Amino acid sequence: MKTNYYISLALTNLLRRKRASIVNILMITISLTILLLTTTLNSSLSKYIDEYLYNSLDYRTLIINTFKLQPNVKETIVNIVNSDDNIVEFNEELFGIVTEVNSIETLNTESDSKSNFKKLILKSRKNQYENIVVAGEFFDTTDVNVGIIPKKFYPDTTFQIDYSKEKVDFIDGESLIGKTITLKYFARDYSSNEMSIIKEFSYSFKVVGVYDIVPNHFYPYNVIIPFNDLKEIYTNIEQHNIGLAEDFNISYSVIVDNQKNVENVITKLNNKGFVVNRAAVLGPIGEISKYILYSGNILGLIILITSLINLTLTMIQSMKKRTGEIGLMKAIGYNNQNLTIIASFEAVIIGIISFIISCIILLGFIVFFRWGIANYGSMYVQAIKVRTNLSLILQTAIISIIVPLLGSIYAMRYAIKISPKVALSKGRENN
Amino acid sequence: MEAVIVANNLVKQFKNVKAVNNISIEIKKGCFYAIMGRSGSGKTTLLSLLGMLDNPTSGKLYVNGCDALTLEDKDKSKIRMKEFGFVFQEFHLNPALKAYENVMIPMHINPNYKNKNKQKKSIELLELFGLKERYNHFPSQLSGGEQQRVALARALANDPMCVFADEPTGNLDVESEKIVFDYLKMLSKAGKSIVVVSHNEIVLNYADEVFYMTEGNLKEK
Repeated sequence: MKTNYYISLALTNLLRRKRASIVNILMITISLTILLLTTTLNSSLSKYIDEYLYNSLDYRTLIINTFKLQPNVKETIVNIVNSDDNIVEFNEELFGIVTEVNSIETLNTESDSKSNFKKLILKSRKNQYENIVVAGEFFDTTDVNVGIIPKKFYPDTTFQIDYSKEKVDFIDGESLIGKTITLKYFARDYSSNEMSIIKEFSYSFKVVGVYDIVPNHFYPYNVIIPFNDLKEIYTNIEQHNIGLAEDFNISYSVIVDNQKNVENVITKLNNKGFVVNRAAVLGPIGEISKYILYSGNILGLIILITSLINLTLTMIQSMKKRTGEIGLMKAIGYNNQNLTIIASFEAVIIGIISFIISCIILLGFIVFFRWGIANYGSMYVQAIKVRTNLSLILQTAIISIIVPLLGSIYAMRYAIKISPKVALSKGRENN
Repeated sequence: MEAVIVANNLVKQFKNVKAVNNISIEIKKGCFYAIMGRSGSGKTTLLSLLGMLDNPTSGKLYVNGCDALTLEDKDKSKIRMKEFGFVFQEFHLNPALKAYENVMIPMHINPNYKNKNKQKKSIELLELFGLKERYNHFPSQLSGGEQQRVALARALANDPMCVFADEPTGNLDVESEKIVFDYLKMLSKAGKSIVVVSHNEIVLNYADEVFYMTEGNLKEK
């Protein structure tokens, strides 16, 4: 019952000084909105990075480069793999090889081969890829001349992963299941400046399935073929190539179950003297995320401190204007606790109104961001789920209550310390 | 008649000036007291000491037999809330609240009131002071006399035993002055103790006992 009175009295008092109240609410709202927005964006991006980018297959794949002179390389790696439960797969690694598309069955490649259908990269099979096949089937290790292609297929290595929506027309990879794609590849003279072609080879494979490129950040020109097929392509090229260094021996790859364990595995391999690289590294998005968080939080805090000072000044000014009223309230029996509660309620109401407005603005921004990402974001960016979380909202709610309360401390002290007689006589002077 | 407030040797000193100089007075139930004197004679200071709005430099004050000056601030507030009502020259009405809401202000901190009774009681009090039709008006919509009557109703909100009035007619015209004093007299007849500080001679027509203050000293007429 008393609470209702305090709320209505606080609202009445706030309405009596509408302009100051609006300025206070506005300043706190701006700072809370900036804090909410930047932390929301940061947490959304962090989640995108942690759950999507860091957990993509390539990010969890470690390439182990070995040298011809290293003894017992494979045995040592196998021992590490067998003793570490976090390593889910171990393969001999053949780097993706660029090939030119010669023909794609049923498609009119004659006219398009020089424009749209240029090059694709062949990658060797890994067991983990089975999980990303979305239509058709995955092939076995013993199969030959088969492959899986992206569901959104675009055989052009000039394709770049970008933030904005792709401006290319993808081929529906599923429509090519059962069809044959023929490629050509070359042995070259790398000692010459123009890397002239020494010999041309041909390779054909039947499309048996398609995979989703988005969850693992693969390119739409990555085609996965059997290891032995790729090995043969390598052999053909290496037998005729001229001018490539031969210091490197076979490379190996291991896939780690979770990004959290990647660093541990790298350390283990490094300790055994292996040079280890991730198959993929994080681009500038990590820095962007940090920049948003730091700059947003600094700006939000500056405005929050300014609004705290402003609130303190206006609350004191308001209390001084109401000195007569305070004197009367003290005279008729309001004690310090009652007056503190009244001042606190005024502050808290400012905070609550600011918080609600901030949440509404945040909601608007989230809807706007989601709309923007859905309509203008690339298929990779669309994996960013812009959303806030409860703990963030609760933290901001606490800030929105604490800041106005801090701002009202001086005003409360003024109301508490002044004696009723002095307050009444000061009120008389004000009148 | 029983004394509800007893002041013994009250002294209030500001630097070298004794605004109240060793004053002893008894306020009896149902009596109308007038304290008169020139400006600066110390009458408002004495009223503040009797109404526990200020602490004396020395002396004793008993309210209903209780040594009021030894109490904590919280308990003094409680006594002021339950036993005293105040009326001031400036009315001190909250301009953002309607007449009946102003009267309800003291009721909100009185645990004896139930929420639904507050509005009814405040309108009854306004009716008592001839403001039945004006209960829903804001102070700015009321005349000075009406505002002071709202202040009187507010002073009675918690049914106090004693009403202190400091120059209650200072801002009023002659007609309103009479109305206000008539009401105060009515209250004293109803058993309330009334202590009025005024320099208005008209109060002499209403007071049961009249005191004059000169340079901090009190003399009974």
